[in-house]
Amino acid sequence: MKFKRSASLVLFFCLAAQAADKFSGTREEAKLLSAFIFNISKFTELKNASHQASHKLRLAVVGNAMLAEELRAISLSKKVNDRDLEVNDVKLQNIDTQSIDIAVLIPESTQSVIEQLKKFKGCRCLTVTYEEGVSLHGSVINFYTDQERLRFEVNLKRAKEEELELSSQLLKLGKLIE
Amino acid sequence: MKQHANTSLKTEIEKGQFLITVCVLLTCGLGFLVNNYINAKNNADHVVESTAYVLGQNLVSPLMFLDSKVAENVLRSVENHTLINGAMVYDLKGKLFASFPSDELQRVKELSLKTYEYPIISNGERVGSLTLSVHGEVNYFEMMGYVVVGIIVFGVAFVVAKTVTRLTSNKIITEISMLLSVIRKITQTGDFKNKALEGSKNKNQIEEIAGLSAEFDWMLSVIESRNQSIEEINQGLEHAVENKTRELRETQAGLVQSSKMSALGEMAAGLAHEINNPLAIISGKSQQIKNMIERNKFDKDQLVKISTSIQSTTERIAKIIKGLRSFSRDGSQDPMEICKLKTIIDETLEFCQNRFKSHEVALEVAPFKDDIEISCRSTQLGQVILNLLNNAHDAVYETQEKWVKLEVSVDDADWVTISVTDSGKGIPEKIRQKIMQPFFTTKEQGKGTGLGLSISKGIVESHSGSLTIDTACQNTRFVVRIPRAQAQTAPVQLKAA
Repeated sequence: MKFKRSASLVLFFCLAAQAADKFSGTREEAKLLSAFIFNISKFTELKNASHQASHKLRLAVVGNAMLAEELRAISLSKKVNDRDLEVNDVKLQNIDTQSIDIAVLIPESTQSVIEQLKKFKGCRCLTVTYEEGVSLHGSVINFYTDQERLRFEVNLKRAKEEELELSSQLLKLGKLIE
Repeated sequence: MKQHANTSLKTEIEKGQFLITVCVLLTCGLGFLVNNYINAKNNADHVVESTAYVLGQNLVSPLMFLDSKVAENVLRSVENHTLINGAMVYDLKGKLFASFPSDELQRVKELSLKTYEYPIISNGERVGSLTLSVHGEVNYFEMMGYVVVGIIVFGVAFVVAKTVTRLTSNKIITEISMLLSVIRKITQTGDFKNKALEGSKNKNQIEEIAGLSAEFDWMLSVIESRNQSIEEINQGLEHAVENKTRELRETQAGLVQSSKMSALGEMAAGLAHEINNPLAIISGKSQQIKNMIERNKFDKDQLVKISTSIQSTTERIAKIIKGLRSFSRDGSQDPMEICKLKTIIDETLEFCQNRFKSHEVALEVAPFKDDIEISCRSTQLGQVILNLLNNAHDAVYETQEKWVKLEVSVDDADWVTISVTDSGKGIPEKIRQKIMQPFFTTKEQGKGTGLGLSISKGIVESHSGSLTIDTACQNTRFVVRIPRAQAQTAPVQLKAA
């Protein structure tokens, strides 16, 4: 039993060491992450009843102005499935969770992210985080790095609860978490 | 009738139909293969395009999320593809993003494989490109399958065509054979009442052959009616020829007899002298007997001598008259008899030798064997000899040198040759050509009938012999050659040669 526990701890630390589990804040990473987020929005069918097809998709970035800036740059030249993308850099205290379609949560601490995710529960909002283990706490999409490559995991249970339909292509690429 | 045909109509029809069938089958087979080739090519293009589309759809997200491993997994689906050899994905910058097999780019370059490039589009935006390398334009294994199927279809069609060809040709040949059998029957029997169309039991004849049969039947009817006409004409002609022949025979017989009587007439003076002399002897002897009675002085020996002389003289006259009667009768109906040639010649000379004497024409009969026998009609042969002697006499009796010579010889082949030569200097060529023709004569008018030689020639030829002029002789010589033995034949009607 003692051996098993020790082995599990070793494995946990190894996995933890393998993944770079936090957004570093560099411009390059912000560009890559914004491209990923933009693409994920393309492969997701949002079910928010208040949003008609003709309306803009509203994307709120919480906690990282650089990422918001990069996403806004993309939205100026591209559309998400023929819909314009409106990118806002918002403060957590000012956020209206009901009017947000996609929420990118990049707070300073893990605890903070978990707290924020609770607010979006039941809002039919696609929540995107970049924090280790956060997907288990309600993030639909959570980014991580693996062998210096940006990867993402998908919480299918949460996506189902939020009535989000994710493309099979997206599911094929992402790491699925039930 | 000998047939020169080297082949039969059936063979020719089957050959023609077979060639047509083979041409049609080859054309169909070729069309089948070309069609399948085009279809296979189109299918191949379509399959490659469809695969490219599916791959492209599945490669959108790996490209977007830069996941080359997933992209490689997607490309791995072409691993067992029959047409596609490998696949490569390029990003928007043209950089190789993923490939399967991993060395595909190198292989494409080394093997110069044919490649097709397809854009990868997502929501109208190009996100990369897909390059597929293919084995070739067409799957040749598939094409071989088509060829095998084509050969099987061709074989089956060939057997069916051959059977159909045989059946159709049999129908044609059967009908033509029926027509041919009718023609053969007509050829063998000569009965034009056989009919091709009427005799045919097949009421579903081929139109052309039925037409041919009908025309043939019509032709037979025409020939039959013409044959009847010709037969009637022939019968009329036969009657006419028969009548004319009979008339001619009668005329010829009359001519022969006339000729004979003419010859007798020519000899009448000689004959009168021949008879007058014995009569004078008889008269003189009768006067001697009368004188004896008047003087009543009978000398027995003298009386016997006188009566003997009268008797012999009377016999001589009787002999002359008998010969005359014999000569004047128509001997053409007499059978061939074996006679002594000497007897015939002697009897003939009886008629004419006095004539020769009276005109001082020397008649010489060359010695010959007395026992030469010959199968002949003696009366006719005597007529020939007499005719030749008379002609010889007439030819020379007014000339300075006048002689006639009769010669008889028998050769080894048992042919008798009787030649009459006179002191003339031969017969000119022009006359020689016509001398045997009836009614040709060189004698003055009223003296000759022109029938003597032609009738003599006819008589000799009826004895299987010949009457010729010996042109080699310096004088005029007629030669009669007759076989000693004659075939037993019916009496021959003489005719002017």
